[in-house]
Amino acid sequence: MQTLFEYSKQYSGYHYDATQTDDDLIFKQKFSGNLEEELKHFSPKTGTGLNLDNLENRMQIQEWLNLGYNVSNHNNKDLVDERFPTLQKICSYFDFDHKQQWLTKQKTCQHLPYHHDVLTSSDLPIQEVTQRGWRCLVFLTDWHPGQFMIFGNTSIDKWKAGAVLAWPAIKYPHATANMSHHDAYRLRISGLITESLTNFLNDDEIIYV
Amino acid sequence: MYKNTPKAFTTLASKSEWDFDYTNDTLDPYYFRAPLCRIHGNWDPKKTVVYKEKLTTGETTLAQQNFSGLSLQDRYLEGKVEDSSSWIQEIANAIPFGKSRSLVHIQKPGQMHMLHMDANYGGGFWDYLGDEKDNKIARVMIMLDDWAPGQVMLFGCHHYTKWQKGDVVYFRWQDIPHGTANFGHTNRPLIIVTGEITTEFEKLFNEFKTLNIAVNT
Repeated sequence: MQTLFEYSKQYSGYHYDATQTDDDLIFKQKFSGNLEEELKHFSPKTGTGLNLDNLENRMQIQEWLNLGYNVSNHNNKDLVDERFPTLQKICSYFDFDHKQQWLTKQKTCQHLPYHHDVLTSSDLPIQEVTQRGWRCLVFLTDWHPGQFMIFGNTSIDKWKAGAVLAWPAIKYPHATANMSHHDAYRLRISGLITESLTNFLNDDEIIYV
Repeated sequence: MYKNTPKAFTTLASKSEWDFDYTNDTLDPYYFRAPLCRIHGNWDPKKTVVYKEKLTTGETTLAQQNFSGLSLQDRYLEGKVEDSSSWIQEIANAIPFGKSRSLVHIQKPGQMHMLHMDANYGGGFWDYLGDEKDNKIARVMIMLDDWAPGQVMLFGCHHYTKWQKGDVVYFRWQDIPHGTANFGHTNRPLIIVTGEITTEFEKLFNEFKTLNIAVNT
């Protein structure tokens, strides 16, 4: 059976060449303010949070189980609802079509295995995700040593709360791990990119919230 | 709310010479050298096997791992070199140490060794070196396979990736906080060698260039 990683590679367009650079990742400071205050309301959903009626989700789970992963040791997530007015405000700056937004928590010892995002929960056709699917992370807590991300060939670390990482969703194989002493909170916002969102991401203005 | 540094870590860190400035991207070569040298050989990394698992029970080691909910067995599969594939001893012997000990670590996808400081080492093995023994023994890792995406090591402020098969990584075990994780798709095998520093090792360390060592496995 084909793995989801192999399936995604057909659509990714990534070079998979360790000597090349990654030229369309966006990693920059976009927000400032007290982003941690509301995190005390975080109340994670139980289980994997994946809809197992979806074939791609089942492929993903099966792939990770075959590799030996404990799939219950991945990130936790929560809705960005009225408990989080500041975070809702941040999300409002991301003008996606078919937008989805989650508050995620990666506890110490949690990780996400190396994978591509196919935005399965959006129910969008893979061709549309390939053309316009993007995902953004907004870091809500400062980086601590041991928190690690790799996107393509690019290591991401040493972020400050309010930084944004954005990438064409299916293009970049990526993985994250938290072997630090601190939990990491992020907003994860996804959908089909628009011109106004592109302009927002390219703008260097830092917004105080 | 989300900070959870174990006391065992801070106690050991207080004895470190390193400045704990994590904002730099590079580490002073006094503390970290990668690669210190490169060992060439025809071994097949996929044939790295640990026949008998070594179980660690040290309190300090445990405290720096299980605060996170992970057990010591979640770090990697560990075995003594003598309880592993026979060709591994030849590779470990390429490092010009005096009296030494070597362990094999196979870190499987999903395994993680949390950020930690190494505790005093040896259980009496090097006590003949006297009170200054910590500065008379050194530690290296020999990477048995090429790096694969999702494998990472943190040494102080530096995330180490993209190593090559045979790379020898030196770090001052008593000073540098470190951790490792494998969230890729393949095993990450290595040998960790700790041994008495010899003039030959000092020469290797002071060369400041990558030396090639051939091993016929």
